[in-house]
Amino acid sequence: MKPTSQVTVVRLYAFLRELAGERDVEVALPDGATVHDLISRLVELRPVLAERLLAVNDNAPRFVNILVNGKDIRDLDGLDTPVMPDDEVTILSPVGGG
Amino acid sequence: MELGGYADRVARIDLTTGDIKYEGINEEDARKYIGSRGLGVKWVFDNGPKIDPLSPDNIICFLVGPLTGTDVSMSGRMTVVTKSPLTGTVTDSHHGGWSGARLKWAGFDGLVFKGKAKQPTYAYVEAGKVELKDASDLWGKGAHDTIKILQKRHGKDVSVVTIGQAGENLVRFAAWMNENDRASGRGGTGTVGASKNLKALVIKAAEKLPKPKNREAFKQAHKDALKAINEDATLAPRKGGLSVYGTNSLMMAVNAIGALPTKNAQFTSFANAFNISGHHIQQSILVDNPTCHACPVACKKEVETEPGKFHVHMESVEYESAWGFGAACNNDNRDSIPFLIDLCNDYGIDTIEMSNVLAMTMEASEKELIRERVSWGDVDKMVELVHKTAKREGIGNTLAEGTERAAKAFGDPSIAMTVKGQAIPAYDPRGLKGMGLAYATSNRGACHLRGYTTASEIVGVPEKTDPLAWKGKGALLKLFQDFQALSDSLGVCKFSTFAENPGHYAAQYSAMVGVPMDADAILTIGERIYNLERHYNNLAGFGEGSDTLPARFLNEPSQSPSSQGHVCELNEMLQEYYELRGWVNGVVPEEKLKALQII
Repeated sequence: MKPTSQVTVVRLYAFLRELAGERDVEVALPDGATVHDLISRLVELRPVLAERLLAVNDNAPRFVNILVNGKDIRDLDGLDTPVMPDDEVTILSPVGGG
Repeated sequence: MELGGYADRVARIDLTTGDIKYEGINEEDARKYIGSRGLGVKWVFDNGPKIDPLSPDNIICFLVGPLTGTDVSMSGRMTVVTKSPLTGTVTDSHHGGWSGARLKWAGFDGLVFKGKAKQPTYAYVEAGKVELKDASDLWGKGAHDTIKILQKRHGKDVSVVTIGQAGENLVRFAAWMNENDRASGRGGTGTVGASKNLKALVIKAAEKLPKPKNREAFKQAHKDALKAINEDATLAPRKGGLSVYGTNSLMMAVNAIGALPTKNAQFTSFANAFNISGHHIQQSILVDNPTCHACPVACKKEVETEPGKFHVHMESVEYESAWGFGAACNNDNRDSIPFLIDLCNDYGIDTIEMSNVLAMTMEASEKELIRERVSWGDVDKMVELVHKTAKREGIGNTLAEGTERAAKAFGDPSIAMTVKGQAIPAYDPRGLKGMGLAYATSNRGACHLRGYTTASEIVGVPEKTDPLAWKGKGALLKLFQDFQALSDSLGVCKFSTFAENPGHYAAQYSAMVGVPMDADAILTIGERIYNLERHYNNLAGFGEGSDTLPARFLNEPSQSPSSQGHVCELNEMLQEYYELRGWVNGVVPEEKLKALQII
């Protein structure tokens, strides 16, 4: 991995927060990192999240919703979505109902 | 009748004379409209579109579908259909629990009430018979006490469906309450019941699951549907977001994308959303996860708040209600929300309309349109106004008319977040474009449950679409409207559509009822039901140009970062939608009615 040049704060909700035991996790990423890189690094830091984060369907995690600056990565480039410094990354449990 | 799944029995009750007639299901109608919502809409249509909703001439129908009370997963639904005193449209409102299953087990597909009883009355239903009983001692009591008294009188194992004092006082958005905290909330169906002096239904029945026409095919269809539910990221028991956090799992997701109407939709996100979210509630005050007949999901979230003035133990905090008494009113006091919901449940009031009328009143106060001071997030004032609305006291007499009429009375109709007289639920059309079209074209006024495009725009079912894109939303909404008319007509919970597709529905219907059906054919029935409702509304006075939204969503851009600058492109979406529907600016033409065999 290239030298670290940015730190992104990932905000966790629901299952993820309970598993990780914290709301915000700081993840150091190289330049040009993507959501895929972010997940890999996050799982290295918090292996307990692996089961929830690593199952993939159509280039996006199957059991969580990931938002970059409030946009669902499924509406962007999925796991290939770039993550820039200061981006706000949110990981939510699947939702539904009304 | 040859069809399986039905009890083949309907009671038609004339409350004026006390006459009760029993008849079988009309097989042609059952094949064309299935049951529950579809059949109820047909009966209301046949009763005429021009009648006064609060006159004895209106009918109120309680129905179940051919899959209600069967082994089919999530099949515990009951439907109430009537002409709405809030909107003037046909309306249908649904609840879960066990009353739907018990109505089927008691030997009925439907109960139809007409006329007006001389004194307060309740209907006791058991073993294929309906008996009218004096409810004078129950009149003036809340839903919770009424249920307690009737269960003491008739046994703990009965289902009680009742109105509270709000209905008795003809609050236009009164609900039918079932098993304490499950509501047929929308459209004022409780008001119609009260106008007939009908206080409650009591249903007694032991479990008696209808036998499918084709047992082997049913076993397979049921297994396939259950597998889809168990593997679904949203529904999977004790794993999926809906199962663990309930409907209020949506709060943070909708807020994050800038689609949470806040301060009467002056804003599209709420800074303190977490305090009122399902995630926070699950971690802090959750005590149980109640469920309904044949449902492995258990999305109800029973809570007990902290000791104090908002202490309450109640069955469920739903997303729409949490949003309404929370973000819409700029209120982040967690415990006040279950308390307010419970208060509305006891009075028998629709929480969505009530919270909207409060939010609108707060804006009216801020703009000094009214003398009464009602500050944003003033929870004590909110409680006071719920009491006053239910009793029609003071300003409550105006609020009891509903958000749209009250805003007009305050002198500024533009602050009413309503469509066709009914207030919006918890999705801002500037951040979720499909929901804007859904509100505008809903046949019962603003509603998220006629066509839940949020399933696609947030959850990703049947495929993910961008919530900020308007193109393609016409086709998406038509599919959801037709599909979800089927959920309501078969008698299964709409949440099943997160995992099941029209093919699952067709297979279960075919095997239970004995009528061969594929996905396309069953969707055509959904389309027929949606068009019949629309035709009724057209005849009731909702002509061309009736499908619109509050100007705020069309003209005032969102300020949230995720949806910044967006308004709702309603006209563009309507063109696409009407073309697919074959409607002329919202009106169903004769050739379409003929093509769908409605006329």
